[in-house]
Order: sequence, then C-alpha cells, then structure tokens
Amino acid sequence: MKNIILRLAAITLTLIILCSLCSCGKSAKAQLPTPTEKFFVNDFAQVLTEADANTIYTSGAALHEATTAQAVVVTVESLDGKQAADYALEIGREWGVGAEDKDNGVVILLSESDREIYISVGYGLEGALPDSKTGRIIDTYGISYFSNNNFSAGLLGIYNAIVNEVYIEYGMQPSENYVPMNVISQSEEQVSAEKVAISWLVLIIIVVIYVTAFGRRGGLFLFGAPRFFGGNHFHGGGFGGSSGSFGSFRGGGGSFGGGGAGRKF
Amino acid sequence: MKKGLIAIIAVVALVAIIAISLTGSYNGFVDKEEAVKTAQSTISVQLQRRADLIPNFVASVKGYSDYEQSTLTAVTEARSKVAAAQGAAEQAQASAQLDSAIDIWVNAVTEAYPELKANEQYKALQDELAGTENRIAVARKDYNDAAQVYNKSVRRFPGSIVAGIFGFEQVEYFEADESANQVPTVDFS
Repeated sequence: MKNIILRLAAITLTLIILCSLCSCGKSAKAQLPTPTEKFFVNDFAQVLTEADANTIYTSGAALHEATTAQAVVVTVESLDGKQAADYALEIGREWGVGAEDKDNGVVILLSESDREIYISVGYGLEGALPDSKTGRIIDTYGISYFSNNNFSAGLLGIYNAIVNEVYIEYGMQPSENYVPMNVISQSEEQVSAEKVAISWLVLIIIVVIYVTAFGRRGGLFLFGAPRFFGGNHFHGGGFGGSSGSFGSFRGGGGSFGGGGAGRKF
Repeated sequence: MKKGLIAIIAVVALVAIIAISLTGSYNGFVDKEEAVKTAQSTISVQLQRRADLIPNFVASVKGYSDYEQSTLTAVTEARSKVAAAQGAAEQAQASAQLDSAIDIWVNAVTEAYPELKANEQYKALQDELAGTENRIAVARKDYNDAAQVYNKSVRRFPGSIVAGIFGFEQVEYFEADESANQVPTVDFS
C-alpha cells in the first residue's frame, strides 16, 4: 500500500514538473503586455494627458456599446525589435479586440522610442478602413503632432477619426464636426469591393470547416450562437467597484489578418 | 462455451475501441489538413490582390514622363510569371521575385520623382500595397503555424501509423528569405 502511494506521488511530481516545463516554453514565446482595466486606453508609455485618455476611453466605450466594435489605443516605450505591424496584429489577436462574430476591432499602436505608429484593422472593418484611408487618417490627424512630440493630441485626433469612420460604416451619425475621409483613388472602390468579397470568401470557408468539423447540428449551433450572445462584453458593470462609470471591458475575440497602415515620424 | 463468449466479446470490444480511435484520429487529420488548405488559399487570394494592385499603381504615376521604364519591365515580367506559376513552391518563388522587383521599382520611382510623395493617389496606393504585403506575410505565417500543427500530428506516434494507413503526408513549410518577408517601410516624413 505504501509502495503504491509513493509511486503515485512520484508520478504526480513528474507530471507537475513536465507541465511547468511546458508552460515555461509557452510564456517565453508571447511577451505581450496585458490589457489594462480600461481596455480602450493602454498608455504603457505614459504619453497621454489625463483628459485625452478619458476622452478616448469614453468614446471607445460609447462606440462599443453602439456598434460592438472595439478600438484600442496602445502606447509602448519600445517595440523590442519587432515590426510595428506584427506587434499590433499580435495585440489584436491575443487580446481579441472586436466581437468574435464580426471581427470589428482596431488596434492603434504607438511606440515612443521607435517613433512609429501602426494601425491594425480587423477583418470586419477592412471595408470601412481600407489601408489607404487608414494611412490618410494618420497623415491628416497625427503626423504633424507626432513630429512635435505631442503624442497625446495626435492619438486623440486619430482615435476620433477612426471612431467616426466606424459609426459611418454602421450607418450611424458621426460627430457633428467630423468631415468623412475621402481618399482620392480611382482604385479605392474596386479595392474595397474586392476586400468585401475576400472577407465573404474567408467567412464561407470558415463556415464550411465548422460544418464539416462539428457535424451539421453542432456546427450550425456553434456558428449561430455568437450572433445572439456575442455582442455584449460588459464585465460586471457596477459590481466590480471600480471608479469607471462603464465598468471594465475586455476583448470579444475578434481576429485580424494584417490589414492596416503605419508611419514613422 | 463461456470462455469462447468472453473471447468474442473481448475481440469485439477491441475492434470497437480501435475503430473509434481510428475515426477520431482520422477526423483530426482531416481538420488539420483543411486548416492548412484554408491558410494556403488565403495566401493565394492576397497574392492575387497584390498583382491586381500593380496596374493601378502604374496608372498613378503615368503622368510622370519616364517612370523608370527598365525597372517597370522587370515588374511586369515577374507579375506574369506569378500568374503562370504552377504549384505552391513555384508560386512562392515567383512571388518572391515579384516582391523584390516591386521594391526596386517603387524605390526608383520615388527617388526620381520626390514630388510623388505628396501625391495623394500615389500615397493611397503605396498604403494599399504595403497593407497587402503585410497580409501576405501574415497569411504565410498562419500557413506555417497550421502546417506545423498538421505535420506534428502526422509524424508523432501513434498518429503516424494512422496517417500512414490513410495516406496523410507532411506538407511543406513556406520558407521565405528575409528580404521577401519584409514589409516595405513607407516613409513620408
């Protein structure tokens, strides 16, 4: 009897050691910051003024409530040698920015020491924010501030433009004084139509995989369910006890495919 | 008699267990292989998208008298090679050539006509091109991730036996050289 207990103990110990070794390998791979409680504002480099951070948070929460879309600002001191586009994409995927069934997330990443900004756009918003328009938004609202080291004002302007473009996409009224971005490009319409076609194609492929993988009943249920329940990702509004009036937010599971634009300044 | 019955039950149970685990294992391979195929088709879609952008790009600099004709010829040649490429390996090679041809041409044009940097349409297309390059890079990485999951399951014991029976073979990884994988940086400052 004693022997058995000893053996069991030894096996358990070995398993624990093995498991911890495995998780060590995993955690070493992903070195991304974790989102703050405010989710829409993650000012790790501390470049935002308090007023601007609050404005961004409030309009981000309002946008999320109205459309389920999520736009997050992330500022870091350094990209740690990564490409800005990759870093922004990883944040979008890892944090699950945007709703899972709509992939309507946007990550605005600014690195202070690299003097670089990249806006990564989720699959579902690639029609509303094609790369050219995203680049134009940075040029119009950000670059002049960034070159004067006024990161806060630039990020606020960019955030405001993106929020309004998303409102327009969802058929809602943008802010009164917002002038919609018009990208002068003959190819624009064609390209966005193509993008819509691509996202449909991807969607169809995913559906087919789902249905074949889970069988008819399971597949359809799994796919249909988030449509009804996936929209709202509030977390304990009023019971967490935090000072924010909206409670805390987290990612909805949106996915990204590498769309977006960036600038060095 | 009793012994015989027990033996039969044991055999039936064994066969059932083997059949169930085989089915599960087989379906696992199918799922993973499908994921690889999906990733592969995403790459093709994005490669096509980039190829389609090039004529627009050329049109945006038409107004400039001689837009680096010699380097542009390399682009059009590389582009037709991508269209004619057969199979994943050939497609990858051709698109890597197109990558560098586009890079060389865009740099040549931008250097020769600095005023283009202020051209809105040129900028817009530059962004679209960079974004597409990035999508291709992401799609390739996703493909490799899916291929790794699939290849691991094909090679690992005991799954390797099932894979051998049903003819699931390892897929090739997409190996790009660093220059082909890099997103061209767009600097308008």
